[in-house]
Amino acid sequence: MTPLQKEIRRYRPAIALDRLVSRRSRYTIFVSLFLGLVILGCVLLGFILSGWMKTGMLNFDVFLSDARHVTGLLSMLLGPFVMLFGMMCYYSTLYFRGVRMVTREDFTDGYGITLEVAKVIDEAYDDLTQSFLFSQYGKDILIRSGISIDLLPAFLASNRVRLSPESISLKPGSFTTLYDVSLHVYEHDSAFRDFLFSQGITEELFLGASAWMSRVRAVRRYKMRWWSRDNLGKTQGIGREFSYGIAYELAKYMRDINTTSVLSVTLSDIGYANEIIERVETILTRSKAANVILIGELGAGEMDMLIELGRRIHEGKSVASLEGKRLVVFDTNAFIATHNTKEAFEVTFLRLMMQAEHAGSIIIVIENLPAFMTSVTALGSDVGELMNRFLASPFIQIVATAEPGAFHADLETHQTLLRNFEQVVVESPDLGSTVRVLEEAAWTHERRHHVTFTYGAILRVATCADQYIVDGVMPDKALSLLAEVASLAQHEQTTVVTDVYVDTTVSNAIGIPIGPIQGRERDMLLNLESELHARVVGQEDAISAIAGTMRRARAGIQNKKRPIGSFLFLGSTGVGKTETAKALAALFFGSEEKMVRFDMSEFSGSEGMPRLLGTATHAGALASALHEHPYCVLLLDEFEKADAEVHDLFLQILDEGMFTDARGTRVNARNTIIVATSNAGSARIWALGEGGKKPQDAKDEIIDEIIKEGTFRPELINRFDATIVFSALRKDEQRNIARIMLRDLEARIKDRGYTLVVNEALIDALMREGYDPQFGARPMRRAIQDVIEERVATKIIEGGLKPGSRIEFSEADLLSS
Amino acid sequence: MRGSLFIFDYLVWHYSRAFRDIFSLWFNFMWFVTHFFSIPLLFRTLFSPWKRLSDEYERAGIEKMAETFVFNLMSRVLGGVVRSIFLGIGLSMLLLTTAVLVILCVVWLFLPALALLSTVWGLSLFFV
Repeated sequence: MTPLQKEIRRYRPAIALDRLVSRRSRYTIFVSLFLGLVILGCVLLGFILSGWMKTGMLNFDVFLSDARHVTGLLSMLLGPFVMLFGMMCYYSTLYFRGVRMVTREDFTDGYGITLEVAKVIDEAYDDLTQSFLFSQYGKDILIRSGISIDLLPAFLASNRVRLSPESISLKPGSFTTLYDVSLHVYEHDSAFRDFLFSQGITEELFLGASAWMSRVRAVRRYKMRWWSRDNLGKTQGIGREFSYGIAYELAKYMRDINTTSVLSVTLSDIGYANEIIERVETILTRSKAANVILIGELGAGEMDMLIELGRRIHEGKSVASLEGKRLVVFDTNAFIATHNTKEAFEVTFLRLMMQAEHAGSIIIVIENLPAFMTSVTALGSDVGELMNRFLASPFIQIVATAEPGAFHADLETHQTLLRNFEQVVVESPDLGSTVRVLEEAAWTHERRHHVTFTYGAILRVATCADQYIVDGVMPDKALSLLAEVASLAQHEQTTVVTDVYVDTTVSNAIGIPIGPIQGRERDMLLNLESELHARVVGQEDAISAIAGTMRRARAGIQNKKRPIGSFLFLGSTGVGKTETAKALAALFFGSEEKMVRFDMSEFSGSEGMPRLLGTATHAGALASALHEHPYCVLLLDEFEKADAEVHDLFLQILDEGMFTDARGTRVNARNTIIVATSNAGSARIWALGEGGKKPQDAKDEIIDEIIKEGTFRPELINRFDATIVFSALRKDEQRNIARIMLRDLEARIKDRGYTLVVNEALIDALMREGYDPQFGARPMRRAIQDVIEERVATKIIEGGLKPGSRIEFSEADLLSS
Repeated sequence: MRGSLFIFDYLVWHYSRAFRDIFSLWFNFMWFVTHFFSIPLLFRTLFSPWKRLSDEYERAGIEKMAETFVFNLMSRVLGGVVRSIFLGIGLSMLLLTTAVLVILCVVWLFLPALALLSTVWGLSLFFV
């Protein structure tokens, strides 16, 4: 017998029992028998008591005389009850085999397979995949992967190579779980892989769903095993506080850190949280100056980690030297509110700290230490000075939290205070860890909102929150999005929440299309050139280069950790650079209002950077703009005039799509299309145009010249997705622009109740007055004002026009000035 | 055939591995009682001052020192008494848990027989 067969042999009775009577039915029978026994026991007791009341003495002969039938019945029920009890114990031994516990226990097996795995293999005969997919676990995975179970019969009946259950081998040193079976089936059954692929299920989705369902089962079994040390240890012990003093003053302004954490039981599995918790633990066990300051954005989970640490200490699962310690949150707001003079604050605060130090068991948690310090400073006191003596004490520990911006602005100057604090930076968790947190939270939302999340939906929530939600940090913003999606799904009576549903929800919320490209957006992208040409005249090469880049960006081929698109538009004034940026804003973000324009000449010189990035007290122009318009076209006009440091900043933004402002806040620019315009090289472009050469073809030549002139550094130019050269406008193109501009004027005049007739005479006049090959379309705007608008205005004021009448100019009208 | 195999498997488990599980359970409960009553900590700090209530000795005359000594002694005695009580309860619970283990083991030994005999006896009482 192979080790695997031996393992299965061990489970056969339990499998047979499950086939005979389900676990739930066994439990119902057991409870019914127990209740029957209790009732019969009470009846028997009644017989004995009534005998005692009649005769004044206890007579146990009633069992065999008056209560003979009751005794018989009770005895008959006791037999099956005991048998069932024995069988349930037997089953439990096998059912809980392989459950992973945090606290080590005696007599546990180190390796083997779990009961569920044994069931799948035992029922497999010659087709492991079929048995796996028919198991509840397999069905759950399919549902969570977003595959309909109705598709299974056709797949299983297809002509495919069957995967033998014997192909599974035991994992040395640990238990083979359902996840391992899932992985094995995926890796070894190519037909199954093809089936998944045909349903659009990637390896990441399938194995992610498998791991999720496997964890859910593991947690369920973990919680059911109430006699484990982990679960018994949750009861708070007595006697630990006998050796510690009482902090009377602090007790008025504190609460125990016992709020439920959203990260809950699986948090100990999440690498990023575990590392930080263990770091904090290690620092707190130091002999002195064992204080920690956790630096992280609000919502990155600092408090959740402290709650988890508090739980570990409470359950005796933390390091020995922290045994009996209490993590208490100091309500600094309430304290300041009740001690609003310098003297009252200092006297009580010192007393509070002394008592807490004397108590010897207190770890004080101060949320947002910089804010507390600022409030105390307003009272005229210095909390840093007051705390310093206690921070070095071995009998009291302080754990503070601070946001990075406030930390840099308010705390970094207090070097004496910081010397006693060990700094721990809480970075936002990576996507994998966020997904784990979401999986846990999804269960709560599923029960509350009666919906089912597919694993793809959970993944999309994490990626969308990361990519499109600018405010807040992970996992907080992902959790908020998950809650929003669940609530909306219930409202719209959607039972299964898929990745597409998440895409639609997010897309509706932020106003830009995300997810698979379809409908109007697909048409727009495919016809992007003509869509852009509706507004921009000429510039065929430039437009087709922009369209190509944008299509690549939207198809998701490009790096997501960069802006959606970034362009450097080169060309002389009035050739359509700004108009193209406006057209991009209208097409990709729904309105040309979604274009934020920066005149970069305002950011030249040493003042440039502080104006753009802000200072410790004032927000910077760029951060404010992105905060107001996270999804926009960022137009950087006359980019060459900005300071060299500003160019360096954009080097980073173009590369990462993120930057840090002066207050230490990370600002997201990944949902923008960055368009930098420049006149650099325009003389050359003009000369090329004059020579009949297409400037876009001589792009490299132009760029070389710009680099030689020192206008832009080569690495900056290389960071843009594309450098687009706008050629000078030809006469016929200018004429088209004149026509478009007159159409605009026609629409404006129509609003006033008149009809302007746009005829060739009008266009000729505009070309006469406004055409300038060097300055492009810009002079034409002035010409419209000076020539046409002026004449129309005169006509309206003269009063010769009735509402609804036509305004038409002949060549003669326009020539007479 | 299958049924008899099941009974055989069960009985093998009942008289072998089940005892290992019972002992594992007993260890868990002993661990729990030890932690719940903080027995090692109470032993370590048996005569420490109660809730850290103690005074510092000051050089203010023999009378003051004697007063401090008495106060500190009282705090330690109080601490010792309360801790001893809890230690007593904790140790008794350990004993009780052990007693339960012994009883459980004995009952477990006769459980299959009890099930059988109880059913047979019940049937005879009820029908005969």
